[in-house]
Amino acid sequence: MQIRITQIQRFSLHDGPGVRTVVFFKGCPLDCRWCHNPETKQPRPQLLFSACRCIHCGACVQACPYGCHTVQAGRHSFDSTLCTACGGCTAACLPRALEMCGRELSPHEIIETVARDLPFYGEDGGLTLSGGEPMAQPEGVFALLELAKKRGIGTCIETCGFFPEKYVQPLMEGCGHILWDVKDTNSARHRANTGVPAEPILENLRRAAAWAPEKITLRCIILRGVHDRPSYIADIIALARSLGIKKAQLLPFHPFGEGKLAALGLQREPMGREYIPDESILAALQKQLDKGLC
Amino acid sequence: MEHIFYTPCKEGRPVRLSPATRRFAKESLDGQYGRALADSPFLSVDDIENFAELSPLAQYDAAIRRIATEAPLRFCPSELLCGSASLGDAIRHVVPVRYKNQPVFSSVSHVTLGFDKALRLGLYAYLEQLTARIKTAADEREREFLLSLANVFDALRIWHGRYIQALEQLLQSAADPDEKKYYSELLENLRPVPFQKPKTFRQALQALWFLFAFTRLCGNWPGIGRLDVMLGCFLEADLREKRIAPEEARELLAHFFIKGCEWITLGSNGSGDAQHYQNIVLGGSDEKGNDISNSVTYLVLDIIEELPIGDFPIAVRVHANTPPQLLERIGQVIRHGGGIVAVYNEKLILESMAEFGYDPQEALHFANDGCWEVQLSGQTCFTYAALDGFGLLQREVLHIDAPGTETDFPDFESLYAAYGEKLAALISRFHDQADTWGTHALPCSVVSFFTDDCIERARGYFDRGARYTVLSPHLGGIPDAANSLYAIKKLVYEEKKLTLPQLIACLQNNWEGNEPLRRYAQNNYTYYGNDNDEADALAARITADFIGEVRKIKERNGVLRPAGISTFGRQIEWRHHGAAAHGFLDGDILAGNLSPTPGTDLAGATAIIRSHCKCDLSRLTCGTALDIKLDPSCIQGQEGTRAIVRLIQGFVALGGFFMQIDAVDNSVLLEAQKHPKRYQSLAVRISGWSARFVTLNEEWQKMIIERSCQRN
Repeated sequence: MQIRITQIQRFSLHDGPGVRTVVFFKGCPLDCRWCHNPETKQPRPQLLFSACRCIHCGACVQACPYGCHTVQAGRHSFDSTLCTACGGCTAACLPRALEMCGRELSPHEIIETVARDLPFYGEDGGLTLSGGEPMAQPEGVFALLELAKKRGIGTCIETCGFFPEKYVQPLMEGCGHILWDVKDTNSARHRANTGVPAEPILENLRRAAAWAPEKITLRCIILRGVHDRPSYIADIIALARSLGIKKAQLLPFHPFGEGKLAALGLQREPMGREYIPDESILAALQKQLDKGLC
Repeated sequence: MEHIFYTPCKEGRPVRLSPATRRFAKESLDGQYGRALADSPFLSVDDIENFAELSPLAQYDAAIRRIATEAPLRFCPSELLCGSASLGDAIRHVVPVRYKNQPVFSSVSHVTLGFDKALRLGLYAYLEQLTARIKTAADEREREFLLSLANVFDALRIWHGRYIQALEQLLQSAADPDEKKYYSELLENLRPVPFQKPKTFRQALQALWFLFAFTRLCGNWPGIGRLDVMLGCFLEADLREKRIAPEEARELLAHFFIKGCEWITLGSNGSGDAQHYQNIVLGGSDEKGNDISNSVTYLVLDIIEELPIGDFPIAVRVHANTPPQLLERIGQVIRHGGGIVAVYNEKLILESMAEFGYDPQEALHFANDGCWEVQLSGQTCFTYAALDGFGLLQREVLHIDAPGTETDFPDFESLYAAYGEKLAALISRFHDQADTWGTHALPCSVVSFFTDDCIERARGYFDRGARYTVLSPHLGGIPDAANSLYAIKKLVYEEKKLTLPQLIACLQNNWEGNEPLRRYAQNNYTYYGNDNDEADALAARITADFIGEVRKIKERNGVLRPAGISTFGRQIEWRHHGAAAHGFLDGDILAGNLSPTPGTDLAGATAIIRSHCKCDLSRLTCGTALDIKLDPSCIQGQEGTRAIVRLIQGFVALGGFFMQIDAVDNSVLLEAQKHPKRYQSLAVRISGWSARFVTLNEEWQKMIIERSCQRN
C-alpha cells in the first residue's frame, strides 16, 4: 500500500501538542476558498514552480512537449491547464525551480522518518496526520496509526470530518488527539465556501464526541467580516458544549496560500488580506471562547 | 518611566527587581560606565627609576603595585557590591600600565581562575602557603617568582584598603540615616573579605566580585566558573537562618551581573562588546549522580530572564537527574533571546574527560575557560590552536587558488584519501608545534596566584606551573568541507555531470558562466544538517579522522592536547577560500563551529541536532558547539518553553556536547541595522558568547542574519 503525500515536516509546534512531525496527505474532498495548502487539494501529482529559484534559462520551455512554459522578457510563466505532470521539465530544470509535488511512500517509509525524532517527542509529542484530508486515504491513516503505536509514537490527526461514518469509531479508538476543523456553523455559508454541506461533518463530529470528547479539539477558521463576531463564537461554544468538547482554538485566516496558488500555476483568485482578522478582536474572541468552554 | 528591555516574547520580560536596580542595569547596558573608562585608560610607569632595565617579572610587579595603589576607585550610585576594574586599557586585553605610552604586558584570557578555592579558604590561607613555600624555594628563580605572587597578595590588600578607607570617609560624611546604613552595610561586608572566609551570602558575593574585579583591573579576562556551587551553600544557610530573604538575594546577585557590564561601551568592536569570556557554569551532579542545583541556580535564571545581560554567558550542565523545573526555567529564559543560557551534556563530557585521562573525581568539577571550552578551572593553563579544515580542502587538495594545477582523482575514495593525508599532516605539524608551547615567559602572577599548582611548583601559569597545560587543536570548516566533498561525490562520481577538473575550473572562475550548475549543486542535494545519513556521514567521517589523528598524542612534553571543533568567527575570515562545490560563491560566509552551512538546513531544529549528533563527540574532550536559531513563532507561551526543553532533552539523549539556542526575528535584526539606537540591548548569540547586535560590525551582523532561522 502506498500513501500519497506532499511532504513530511519535522519540528512542528502548532499541529497538536509538543514537538511533532506532520505528514501532509495529498487529496481533499473539500475546496475551501481560504485553503493555505492548495497543493494538497488534488490527489494527483502537480507541478510546483519556485520563482525565487528560477534563473530564466528556458530549459523547461525546450523540455515540455505541451507548451506549458514560456519565458518572455526575463519572466517565466506556467500554464497549469496544459500540464500532464509528465515530469519532463523537472528533469531539465537544474536549479530545481520546478518540482513535482506529491509522491507515494509506504507506511513503513513514512514511520521511519517520523521515528527519527523520537528523542524529542517526550510524553506529549509525536506524529500528526494532516494535509489535505488524511481520511481521504483511510487505509493509509490506519496503517500509520498502528505503526506509530507499535513504535511508541503519540498520534494526532487534523481532519475536516468529511469521510464515511464507518471510520469514526476506529479513528477515535486509534488516534490520540483529533484536531477537528469547523469551517462554519452556518450551513449555506459552509457549502458556498467549502463545496460540501456541513451536516455530514457535524454528524461525524457528534459520533466522534460520543466516543471520546476529551480527545477532540475544535479548530475554527476565522475570516474577517464572516466569523469575527461574538455571536459566531457563541455558536461554537454551544456546539462544543452540546458534545462535551472542552477544547477549541481559533485559526485566523492568513494569506500564506497565495504564493502556493501562483506556484501551482492555478488561475484562481486568492482570498485577499481584507479577510485577515484584527488581532485585538481575535484575542477578545479567544478569551470569550476559553471562558465559554471552561 | 519603567524601562522595558527587548524580548521576542509577546508577554514581555518579568519585573521582579527594584526600580533602582533596573535603572542601574539600564545605565550599565547603555554603556555609561564603560564609556567613562575612557577617562582613565592606563597608569604610567615612566616615573619608575630604571624601569626599562628591570627584569620582566620586576616590571610586572611594579605595574601591579602601581595599579593597586593608584587605579581610580569607582562607586556607582546605589551599587550593592564594591570594586571596579576601572582602567580602560584592560578592555583591550593588556595590563593597563604603559611605559613611554606603550603597553608593557599583554594579559590573559580563556582562563577561569580558582575563585572557588579562594572563597572556601580565604586569602590568608594563600599567604600562609606562600610564606611556607618561599622558605623552601630551591633557587633564586623560584624565590623571585614566589615573591611576585606575594606581591599580588600585597596589591590586593592595598587596593582593598583603599576601598575601605574611601567607604569609611563616605560613611562619615553621609547625611541621613539611610545613607549611613547603606555605607555601613557596604563596609561591613567588604571589610573581612576576600582575606577571611566569607560568613554570609553577601560577603561571599562581595568576595567573589572583588577578586574578579581585581583580576580584571590587572588586565585579565577570567571566567567565573560554577557560580551556584561557589555561592549556594552560603545562600542556603542564610535562607535557612532567615538572615536574608530571597528577594534581597536576587537584588544582590543582580548587582553582580550588572557590575559585570562595566566594560560595555556600545562601541562597535567586530565580534561585539561582550566578548570578555565571563562564562558562568550552573548545575550538574555530584559523585552519586544527585543534582546539585540550588537557590543560586534559580536566582541567576530569574535575573537573566529579567535583564538581557549576555556578558556572563551561562552554560548549564544537564544530566539524567536535572530537575524538570530547572529545564523548564532554562526554556523560559531562552525564550527571551540573546542565547545567553546554553547547555552541556554532562554525562558525555565526564566520560570523555575520564577516557582522556583526567581523574574522574576531579573531572566532576569541570567548568570552562570563560568561553565554552571545557576544562578544570583554577588548575588549567589553556589555549587552542585554530586549524582550517575547509581551506585545507580548497587550497591543498582541489587547488582552487592555483589555476593550471592538474588535479584529478579516479574515484571519490582517492579524493577523500588525499584530504585525509593533508589533515593528518596538519595535525602532525600541530603536535610538533605544541611540544614547545606554554614555556614562554609572559609574567602573569595575578593569574598564577589563583591557579593550582603554581605555588607548589613555583612556576608561572605559562611556565608549566598550572596542574594542566592544555593546547587544544580546534578544527573548523568541517561542515563546508563535508558538504563540498558530498557535492563532488554526487556531481562528479555518481551523476557524472562533469569531471573533477571541469568542476574545479568552475570553482576557480567563481561559478561564472555556470549558474545553472551552481544552483543545481545548491538545490538538488540534501546537505549536512537535514538528517540525511549520506551527507552527515561525511561530516562524521572528517570529525572522526580529525579526532583520531589528534588522539595519537594525548600528552607530550607536559602539554595536553584534547581535540575541539570551532570557528569563533573564522567562518568570516575563511570565506575567501574560493567558491565551494556545494554552490557557495567566494565570499559567502561559511558554517560556524559544527553547525550547518547557512541556508542549507531546511528540515528543522530536530534534524539539525540529529545530523550534528551523528558525529561521535565522545572523544572530543575540549568540545564543540551547535548553534540553533529559532524564529519567535517557535517560542511563544508554554508550548514554546516545552519545545525548547524537548530540543535540549533530545540533544543530550543523542550525544551532543554543547548547544546554544537563540530566539530572534531576522526582521528585527534588519530593523536594528537601520535604527541601532532603538535596539541597544538586543543581544544575539555568537559562539561561546552573546553580544549586543548593534556592536557587531557589518560582517558579523551579516553572519548572524544569514544563520538559518528555524521555524515550524
